[in-house]
Amino acid sequence: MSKTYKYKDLSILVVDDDAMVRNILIQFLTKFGFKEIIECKDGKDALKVVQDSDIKLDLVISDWEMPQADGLTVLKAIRKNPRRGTTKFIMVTSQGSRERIKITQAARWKVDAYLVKPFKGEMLKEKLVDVLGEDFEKELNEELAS
Amino acid sequence: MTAAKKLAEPEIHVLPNKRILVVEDEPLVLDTYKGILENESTGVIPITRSSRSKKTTQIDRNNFEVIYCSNADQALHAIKESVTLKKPIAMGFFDVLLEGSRLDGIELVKEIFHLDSNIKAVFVTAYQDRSVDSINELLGEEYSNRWDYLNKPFSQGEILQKARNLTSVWNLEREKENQDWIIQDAQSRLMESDRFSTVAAVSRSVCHEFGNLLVHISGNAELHRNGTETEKSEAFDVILKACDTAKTILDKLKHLSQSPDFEDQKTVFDINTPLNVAIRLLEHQFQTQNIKICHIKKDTAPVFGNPNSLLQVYVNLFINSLHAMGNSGQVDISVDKRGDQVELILHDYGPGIPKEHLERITEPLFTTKGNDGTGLGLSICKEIIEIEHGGTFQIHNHSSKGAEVKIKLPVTKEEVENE
Repeated sequence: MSKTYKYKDLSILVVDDDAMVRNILIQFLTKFGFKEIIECKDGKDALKVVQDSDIKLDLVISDWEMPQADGLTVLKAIRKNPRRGTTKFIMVTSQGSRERIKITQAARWKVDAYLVKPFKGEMLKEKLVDVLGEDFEKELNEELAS
Repeated sequence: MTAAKKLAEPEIHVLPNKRILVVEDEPLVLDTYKGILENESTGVIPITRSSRSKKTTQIDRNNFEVIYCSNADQALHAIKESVTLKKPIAMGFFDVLLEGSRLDGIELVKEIFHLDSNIKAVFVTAYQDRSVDSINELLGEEYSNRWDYLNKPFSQGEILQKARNLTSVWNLEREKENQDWIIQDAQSRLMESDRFSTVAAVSRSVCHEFGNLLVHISGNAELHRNGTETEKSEAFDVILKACDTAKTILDKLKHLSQSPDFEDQKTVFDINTPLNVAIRLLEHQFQTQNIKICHIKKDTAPVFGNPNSLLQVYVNLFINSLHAMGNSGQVDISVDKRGDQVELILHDYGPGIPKEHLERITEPLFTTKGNDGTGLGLSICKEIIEIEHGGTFQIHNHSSKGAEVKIKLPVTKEEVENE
C-alpha cells in the first residue's frame, strides 16, 4: 500500500450490537485523532450506510456476530459495491481461530484484519497500522505525542 | 446418566468353544460317549428337501474337545483348571447317580455353577429317579435356564443334539455379551461427545458475551485510568457491572458442566428455573439468529429431580430449534400446571420433522445432521425426562407449523428450596 492516508480525515464506520463495546472503540479512535466516526447498532443499519453513496467510508470496524445481518454480510456488501473499492475492513470477533470455516469465508471476501475481543488500545492501534500503512503510524505517533 | 445397568467388559474367549465335560462312573457308558463324541463325522445326514435329489452331504466333524471324568472330584478339578487357564468348558453331561463320589450329579453341578457362571449341564439318568421338578428345586430357579436332561438309554443322535445345541448356545451367549459391551461402550463414548457438543454450542454463545464484557472492563480501565475523578468513578461502575454480569453467566455455565450423574443432586425446584438458565445461556444465539422467545403461559410448578439434567434437556431442544430455524423464527414456550402434573410445551416455527423421521427421532444414534450430529440429543432428553424424572416426552409436528415437544412431569407437594 503506497497510498498515504491523512488519517484525521478518514471516515470510519463502527458496527457492534453492544453499545458499550461500540462506545469504547469510538473513544479509542477519538483518542487516536479520528474525527469522522459513524456508528451502527447492527449489521442491518450498517448495510444502509454502505449502500448510501453520499457517505464516505474509508474503514469499517465491525463485530462479527450480530442480529439482523452479521459482519460477514456487511463485508460482502462492501466488496460487491464498486464505489467501496478502497474501503478497508477490520472484523472484530471473540471466537479466536476456532471457527475455521467462517474465517475462510471472511478471507475469501478479503477481510483486511481481525481484532480479537478483548482487545487493548495498543492492539487496535497495531491493526490500524496493518490496514492503513506505515505513514499512518508516523502521523499517529505525532498525534499521540502532542 | 443412563439408568441401565453397566456391563462389565467381558472376558475374551477364542470362539467357537467346543469343550465338553463328561462325568460318568460306568466305564462302559463312558466308552459309548467317546464313540459318539469323537467320531470322525457327526453321522447326521440332513434330510434333503427335494425328493429328486439323491445327493447327501455329511456335515463336517464336530471337533469337540472332550474331558472325561469318572467322579465328582475329578470333575471339580477339571472345572477349576479350565477357569484358571481361561479355557472354559461350554457344557457337560452329568450322570445323576455318581457311585463312590461324595456328591451326586446334581450337587456336583450346583457347585460347578458356582465356579463357572456360563457352563451348561445335561443330566443323564438311568432310573428317572429325579423328576425335572425335583432337579429344579434342588438347583433353584436362578439356574433353570442352564440345564437340560436326558434319560438312559440314550441314542447317539440325542447326545450329539444336546452337545451341539448347548455348545452353540454357550458360544452365542458369549458373542452377545461381546456385542452388548461394544454397543454400550460406543454409546457411552457418543453420549460424552454429545455432551461436549452441547457445551460447545453454549460456549460459543457465552464466549461472545465474555468477549464483550472483557472489552467493557479493559476498555474502561485503559481509557479512564488517567481521567478525572468523575470519569474514573463512572468507569469503575461500568467495570463492576460487567463483573456482575460475568458472574451470573459463569454460575449458569457451571450448572451445565456439572455431571448430572449424582442422585444426591436431586432436589425440589421450580420447572422454570433451568428453563430460564437455558434461555439465558443461549440468549446471544437467539439474538444473532433473530429468534424470538414467546412465553405463552408461565405457571410455577415445583418438581423433584435434577435441575442440571433438565437444563441439558432444554439446551438440547433449543439447539435443535436453532438448527431448524436458521436465520429467523420464534419459539413458543408454555408451562401449564394441571393438577398433579405440569406440561411444558416448546413449539418452534421451523420446517418441522419429516414424516419418515417422526417415529425414529428419539431412537439413540438416529440423526439427520450427518456427521454433525451424534443422534443422541433427543434420546438423552427422553431418557432424562422418562427414566430420571418419571415423566413423558413426546415430539411431533404442530398442526400449523414447526415441531412441538411436549414434556409432562409430576408436580411434587414439597416447597421449592430458595436458591
